[in-house]
Amino acid sequence: MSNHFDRFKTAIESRLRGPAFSGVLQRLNIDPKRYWLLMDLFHKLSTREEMQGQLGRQTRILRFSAIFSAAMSGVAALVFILIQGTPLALASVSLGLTIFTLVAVLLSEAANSLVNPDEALALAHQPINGATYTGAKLSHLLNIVLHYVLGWNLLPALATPLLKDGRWFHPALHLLVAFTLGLVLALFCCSIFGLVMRVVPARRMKSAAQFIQAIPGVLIAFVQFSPRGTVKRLFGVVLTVYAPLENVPKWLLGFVLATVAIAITVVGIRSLSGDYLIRVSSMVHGRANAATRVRRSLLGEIIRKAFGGQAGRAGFDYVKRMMLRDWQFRRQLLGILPMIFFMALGVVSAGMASPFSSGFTSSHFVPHLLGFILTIVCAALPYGTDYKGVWLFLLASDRALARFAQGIHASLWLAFTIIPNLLLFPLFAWRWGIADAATFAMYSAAASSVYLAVGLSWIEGIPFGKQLGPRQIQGNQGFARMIVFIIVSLVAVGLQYLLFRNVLAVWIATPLIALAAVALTRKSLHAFHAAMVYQLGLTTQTSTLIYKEVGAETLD
Amino acid sequence: MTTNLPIVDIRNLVFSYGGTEVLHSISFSLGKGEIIGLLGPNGAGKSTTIKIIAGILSQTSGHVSVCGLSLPESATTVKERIGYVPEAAGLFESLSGQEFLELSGRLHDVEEETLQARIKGVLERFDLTKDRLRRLEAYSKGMRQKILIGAALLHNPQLILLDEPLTGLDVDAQILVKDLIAALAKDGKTILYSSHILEVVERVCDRVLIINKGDLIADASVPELRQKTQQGNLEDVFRQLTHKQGSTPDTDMSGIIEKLRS
Repeated sequence: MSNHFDRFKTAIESRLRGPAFSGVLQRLNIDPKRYWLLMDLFHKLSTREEMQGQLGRQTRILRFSAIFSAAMSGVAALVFILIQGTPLALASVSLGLTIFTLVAVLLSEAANSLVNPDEALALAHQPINGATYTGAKLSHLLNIVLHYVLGWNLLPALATPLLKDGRWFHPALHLLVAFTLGLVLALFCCSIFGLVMRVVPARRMKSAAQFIQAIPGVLIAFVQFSPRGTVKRLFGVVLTVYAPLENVPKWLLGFVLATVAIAITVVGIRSLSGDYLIRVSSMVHGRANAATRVRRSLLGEIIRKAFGGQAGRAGFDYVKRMMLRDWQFRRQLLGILPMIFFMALGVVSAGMASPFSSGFTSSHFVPHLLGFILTIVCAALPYGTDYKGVWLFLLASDRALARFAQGIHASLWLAFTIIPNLLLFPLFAWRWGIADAATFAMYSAAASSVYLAVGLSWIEGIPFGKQLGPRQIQGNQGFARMIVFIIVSLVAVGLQYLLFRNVLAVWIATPLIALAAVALTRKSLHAFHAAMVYQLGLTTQTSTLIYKEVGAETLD
Repeated sequence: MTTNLPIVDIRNLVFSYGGTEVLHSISFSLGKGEIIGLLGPNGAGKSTTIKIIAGILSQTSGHVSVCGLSLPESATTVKERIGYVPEAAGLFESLSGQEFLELSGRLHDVEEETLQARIKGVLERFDLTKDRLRRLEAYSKGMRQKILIGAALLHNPQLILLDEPLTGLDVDAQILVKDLIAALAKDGKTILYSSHILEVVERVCDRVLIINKGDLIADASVPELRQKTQQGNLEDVFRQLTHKQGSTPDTDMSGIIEKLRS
């Protein structure tokens, strides 16, 4: 099937490279020759799985996603056939899923592709105009549209004649609508960045793009985890504001909305293609002028004394700073952060009754929510934008690396275990009294330390020292780990509920859990240290960065 | 200046990569307080040699010792005693100059007070004090190079390995680095200086090693080399030694100009 698809694609491509399509490109101020050179370059990059893991470049992952969505939509189509639903209802489901997936994926992909374009920086001095580059980039992103639209709509479209009131032309109509919708969405997502580029200074584009990328996640998390009735109340407010529009004819409203959307898209795309390659350098370098602050804190001194001396302090400061500043790390966490925020909000708004009360309370989730955050952070930690800086650690001794690992542990422990529990303590104390709050906070710190110990062993190398590749994006291992995590944490919540029926049991269990955390942490620190040494060993043996002279000759 | 105790002792060093032998049984030693130029055409094996001395790569065979410690067995201790400025190195660009220097110094276990004093000194000497809190992504190529050189010196190493250290530096900074190299050597540090800028090597180095296609083809002072090859300057010496006997380097550029015109 894959071969047929490739042959079909080749046939279409050879037509597109012909004079007819070249004429169309020229009318759009796109240089056909350079356009196809860029398309071939992007294709080569995706085939070699180079650069960052963008779906637009990763045909293998795209096909997997398409097959997955085809399977899901196939099940939906089967159900509709069985219950004899209407083609319109099935179309609404599959098109809704298409829109939902495309917006989430395209916003993220367009952001990474347009705002962090390493290859654009390499091409910036070439005689390529903005329209040609943007045209090639958008065409490559259309790959995503093609795969997702086919995935979500092919089987439902084919099923439409079998449904109630289904007609012979419905499959073609369904697919036509789906492709048009996908195309408009793709252009719209890219045009948003074109518009933002006009408004936001180039050096702040990365931050702006991250904000835009987070929007779908925030909305989903808000709907899923916000306190009950909030969404309904908000809809009520929106309906009140737009009540006067009820008298406006629907066709007129539709026409105005469509015109505005088209205008935004056209202006956005034109903005994007105008001087894109001139702005690239400033965008890639991000907040280059942002100054840092010098902090001579007592904390640094404490960390030095308690966690492995100067190398430990190096690890502590390094991870703390890079977590806040590294683009790739922040991007990895973007999708999950809103969910965590609203989960926390859900836990707090559910009443936060004392865990020592007889019933089950939302506070039982607190240590495990912290554990969830820690495991996500640990899984994302090895990958960074400036991974080429990893050579610095080649010059560090083994002893220093072991202490460096301790410093990293201290940084994560403080940021995700101690500080959250300290911040929550006043709230707990206010609701449950100081004794219960102190007992719970200590228990929670011990339990989340166990999660950190497990997470540490998942850090596969020097933090921020690896390039985020397609294999990491695919994340099969990460998915499996997450499933295991959810099962284990649910069991732990259950056991914890039973444990908290007796305060004495909690007092006994807390130091035992803390001891287990210490033992596990020691083991994990060894594993983490070994992973760093292993990565550095690989870097010296295989990297053309470190091993430039011979690498250039023999690896190619 | 030079003593008999070798800081670096290399005997019959062989290094292979993916079945290809890159260094063919080379031997040399570096004494305390010496400045040694490491020359060779692109791909000759200079950076590989430096990386083996730095404990980053391990040799296929042969004996390598630094400060009396065998490599790769004592790589950890050796790394504490060397400073290395790599060629065209990547940096963690979201860190500031100050933060990068702190990271480097702390990884080498320099006491905090000493470290801060040394960082201050390095930043002042390289005229980076006012830019020390800016992120490295905002630094020019020359400023980054200064930071790399500074980072290599913070732990007061006995052996300093410089791979094209003048890349991207302006004239003033180049003079500064050359003076720094001389001062470090006077202080008893050994400096292995790899570069393609032969004039600087000629002026700065006590001795020159020339590697060509993995073989050490020369190990002598510049005047000795000039005398042996009957050439007037190091550039001519280099050209003569790195080309096959009897053949002269092709300096006629008319062919390529013609091709570019066609």
